[in-house]
Amino acid sequence: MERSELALMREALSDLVLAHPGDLRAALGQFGWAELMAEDPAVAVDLLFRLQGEHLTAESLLDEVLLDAIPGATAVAVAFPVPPRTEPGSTYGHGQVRVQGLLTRPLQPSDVVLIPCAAVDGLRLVEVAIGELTQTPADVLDSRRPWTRLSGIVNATASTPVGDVNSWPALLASGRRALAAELLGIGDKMLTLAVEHTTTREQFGQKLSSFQVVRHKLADVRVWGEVADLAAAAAWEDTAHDPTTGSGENAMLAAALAKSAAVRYVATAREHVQQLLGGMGFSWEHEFHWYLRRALVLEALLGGATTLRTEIGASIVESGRLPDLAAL
Amino acid sequence: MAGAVPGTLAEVREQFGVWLHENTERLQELCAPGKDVTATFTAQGELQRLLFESGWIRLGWPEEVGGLGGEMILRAVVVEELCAAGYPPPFSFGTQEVLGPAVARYAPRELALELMPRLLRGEEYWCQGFSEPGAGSDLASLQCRMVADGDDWVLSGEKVWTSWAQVADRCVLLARTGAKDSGFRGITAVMLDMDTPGIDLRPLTSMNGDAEFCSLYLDDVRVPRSRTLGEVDGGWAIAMTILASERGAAAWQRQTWMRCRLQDLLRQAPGLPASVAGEAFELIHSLRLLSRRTVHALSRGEDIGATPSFDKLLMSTAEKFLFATALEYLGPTLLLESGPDADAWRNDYLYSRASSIYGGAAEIQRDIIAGRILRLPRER
Ligand SMILES: Cc1cc2nc3c(=O)[nH]c(=O)nc-3n(C[C@H](O)[C@H](O)[C@H](O)COP(=O)(O)OP(=O)(O)OC[C@H]3O[C@@H](n4cnc5c(N)ncnc54)[C@H](O)[C@@H]3O)c2cc1C
Repeated sequence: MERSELALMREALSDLVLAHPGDLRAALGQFGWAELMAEDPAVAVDLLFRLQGEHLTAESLLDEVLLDAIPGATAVAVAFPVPPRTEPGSTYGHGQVRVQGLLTRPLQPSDVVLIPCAAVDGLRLVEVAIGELTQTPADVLDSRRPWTRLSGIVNATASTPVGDVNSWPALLASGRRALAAELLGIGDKMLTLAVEHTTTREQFGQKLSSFQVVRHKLADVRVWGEVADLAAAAAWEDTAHDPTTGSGENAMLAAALAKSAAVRYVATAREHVQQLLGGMGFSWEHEFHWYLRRALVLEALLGGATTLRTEIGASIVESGRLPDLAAL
Repeated sequence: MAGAVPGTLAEVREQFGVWLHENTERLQELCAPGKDVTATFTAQGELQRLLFESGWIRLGWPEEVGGLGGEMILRAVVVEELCAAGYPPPFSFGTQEVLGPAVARYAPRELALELMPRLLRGEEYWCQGFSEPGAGSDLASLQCRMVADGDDWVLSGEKVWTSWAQVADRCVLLARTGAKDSGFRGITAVMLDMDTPGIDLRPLTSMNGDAEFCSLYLDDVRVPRSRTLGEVDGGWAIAMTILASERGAAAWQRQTWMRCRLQDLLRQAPGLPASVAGEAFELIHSLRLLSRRTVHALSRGEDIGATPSFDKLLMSTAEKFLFATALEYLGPTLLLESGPDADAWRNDYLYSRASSIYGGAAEIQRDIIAGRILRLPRER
């Protein structure tokens, strides 16, 4: 996409996100986001999810992004592993699907949901109707998004298998790329809040931003922001849409690295920005805490810092070789 | 290099791979650890000559200074492949990348044509005379004096921490030509021959035990004015070009080397937890992403602004993490044992401690990011 076209698209999406705080999904449907996603997933995901982060949207199209990676899926949502888990907590066996998952929103009983589950022969993906499954509100920390826990037991005969052995890694990678972008939106917003505050507030007769300690904390946040930005872009470099090809493994790793970098960025921002906002940043009234709340949940979803690094490390420890990522 | 000059990254990668394979024996000989500084630099020079004669390190340098033309990025591939094949880039490669572009750009044409091929061919080694006892982080306050006298400049003053000055043939030196308090506006860069009378050179040992640096005492040292780099009183531009190369392009070499060292660590420290290996890789990869961008931008001749400060900060963060990890997981090797592996780990750990000091301390990089990138106002 051309630079000018990209700027226009960003502006249009930004207007749309602001105009539709309560019905983003429907508005994006009309806007033609699905077509944009089919045409240029890197642009579609990057633009939308950064805006979701920046504006703390109640709705998220994370489900749509994941389901896009599974040909033939009919589900409208995904039962995510309950964070901090990255492996599904749902199981498949003995004629049953035991469901333990997290939804980005409550669903209707007739809605079909995708359940990644652990089975004796590895990971499986099945689709089931919500029906009698229990939905419990889980929006306790991040109360601006209607997180919902899903649990219960479904007869295996009432489930439909989808995808294949490569589907779960592909789902994880898609989700991590999107979450990296959303976290970037949050980190950028936090940094902006701190820059605004420290360049206007005065103490000891000077702007807070004239103290070197303050400047260096903000510089540190900015460094990890730069790294996260490059890592998020690099994660789209070898995304073969077919995860069965050789480059698939690198794409998975690049997605894990992108999320890991985004987590480092936002964790650094959370720490320094809150400190620099002083008492104001601890008030309910100031918007900072909503960003912190959202960040904590998104950081843990599909893998936090330690999980991601362990996963990245396991692949290199096992092979004894470093992958050829980000070639010149 | 047989036949036509390769023009694309893929061609360079492929053809250089074949060449590396055919020259294994000679390369292993030249890359064996040297017994002393002289032996090390002699071997480096020979490696450089071998790579020059075969054409590889002439890639990406303009033809008029002894190169083969093409984009600068081609040489980044050569270094990467060399390192991946087990031959870590020697200092001279770093120096070439740090000082070469500035001299090629700012030296009078004739001087550039005379000196650059010698640098590239490994016939000479150059050092960098910036720091002084009174001017480190605050480089613009340097006081080494340089006054015009006929066709010459006359230099007096002191330089310190000049790496490998004892084996260097020339020095890219910054001196004050303006008033004492003229700051960055009154500095001029010159190319000083190290065998000029009046230079008293005293070695300083670095904490890893190397005879790395020197103090230079300059007493009425005469330098022809034809050796001026860039404009009189315009030396700051050259200093900035050199520092950008040091923080940016040279970081690409450092990153290829860190990848090799992490691979060595994976082999030698079987108890290394996956999460720690993963974090080391993540940090080195972060440096790779940053310096890849810098190399591309420099290769296209774009202005890179203050972004090399990001690269420099990641370079020290990654390097310190990597060798702190080695310290923790290699057991007694680094602490108590001798032998080539143990010596190398010990040396690299100790040297990593300097990575947040040389080329501009980490605090200076943060100052630059706060001022030039975040544009935080300084006023009260
Ligand atoms: C291995 C190595 C090789 C080197 N090679 C060369 C060379 O070849 N040529 C050359 O010219 N120089 C060389 N140097 C010198 C190097 O450039 C300087 O050491 C560096 O610029 C710092 O200057 P300084 O040592 O005088 O420390 P100072 O400027 O005295 O600073 C000491 C410490 O104070 C802190 N500090 C300084 N200023 C600030 C500030 N504004 N805000 C906050 N904190 C601050 C930093 O932590 C800094 O590390 C080398 C140094 C090393 C370690």
